[in-house]
Amino acid sequence: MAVEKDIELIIKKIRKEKLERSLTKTEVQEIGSLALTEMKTRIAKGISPITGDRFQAYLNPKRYPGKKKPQRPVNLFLSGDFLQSLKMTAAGGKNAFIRIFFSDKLSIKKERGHREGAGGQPRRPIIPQGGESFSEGITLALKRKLREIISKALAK
Amino acid sequence: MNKVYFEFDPFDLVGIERPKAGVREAKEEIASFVLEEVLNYVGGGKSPVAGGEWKRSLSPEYKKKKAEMSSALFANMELSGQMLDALECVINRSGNIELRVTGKEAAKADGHNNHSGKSKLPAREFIPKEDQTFKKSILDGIKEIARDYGGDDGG
Repeated sequence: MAVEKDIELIIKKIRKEKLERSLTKTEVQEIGSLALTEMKTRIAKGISPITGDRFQAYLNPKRYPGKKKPQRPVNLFLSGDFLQSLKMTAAGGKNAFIRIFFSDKLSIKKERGHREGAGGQPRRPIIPQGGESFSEGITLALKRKLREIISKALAK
Repeated sequence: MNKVYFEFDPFDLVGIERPKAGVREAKEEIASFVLEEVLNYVGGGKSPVAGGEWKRSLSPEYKKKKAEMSSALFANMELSGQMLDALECVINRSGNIELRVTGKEAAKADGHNNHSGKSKLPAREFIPKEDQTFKKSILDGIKEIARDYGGDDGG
């Protein structure tokens, strides 16, 4: 899937379970921040935030990463710019959403390369696209956070 | 030893009644979750086994060797990555879930987990033995997935 603009993930299942109001922006942001943290924690350990399994090893570690960085874990980190540009924005209300995206063009290009396996590299996409979703672990963490937010709101 | 494994029925493990439908799908989700969480714990230098041992520090000699290959200078089970690449969590022929390392990497896995009782290496347990189980956070996750499929814990 070619990506030529911001990569977007819209989480559609935020719902006002038992609440008589929509989630606020702050509440949705809490969930979004958690999603970002959980993604980055896994990536740093070489775990895909989409499949929950390990990123495939470098095919030719002498060529890349060579002497640029250690070959393990496969954590998509060289200078840090790519992962630093992974951001989140959120909105509350009736049409609540969380958007996870790369904030600069070079990172979008890199993610496209990871997704398409550019240059023969193994595919290592990090933002779910199309029918993909987050890994089981991230999904559970987000559901727990949502339940926690709803419980807090109901307790007031 | 050509296999180091932990076999379990996820519903029995967490005390949840089997759902009336979607059992296979629930098990697939649980297997995927368990693998992810085990990798998550191990990647952070911690045991995913309840009460499991994990010697986080490395000997100076090994640390020096590891620094040539890895940015993680603590015990995270990853030098070449081959053993963790061989770690899988699957539904076996009996319909149970099996967290396992098979084949040539099994000897390394036993070195750390010592299922054979013969290992002299520092203990770093990431595959429970028969009389062990997972850490609470993993069990809680299994329970949640089982409940999502309609599994009942009578609570």
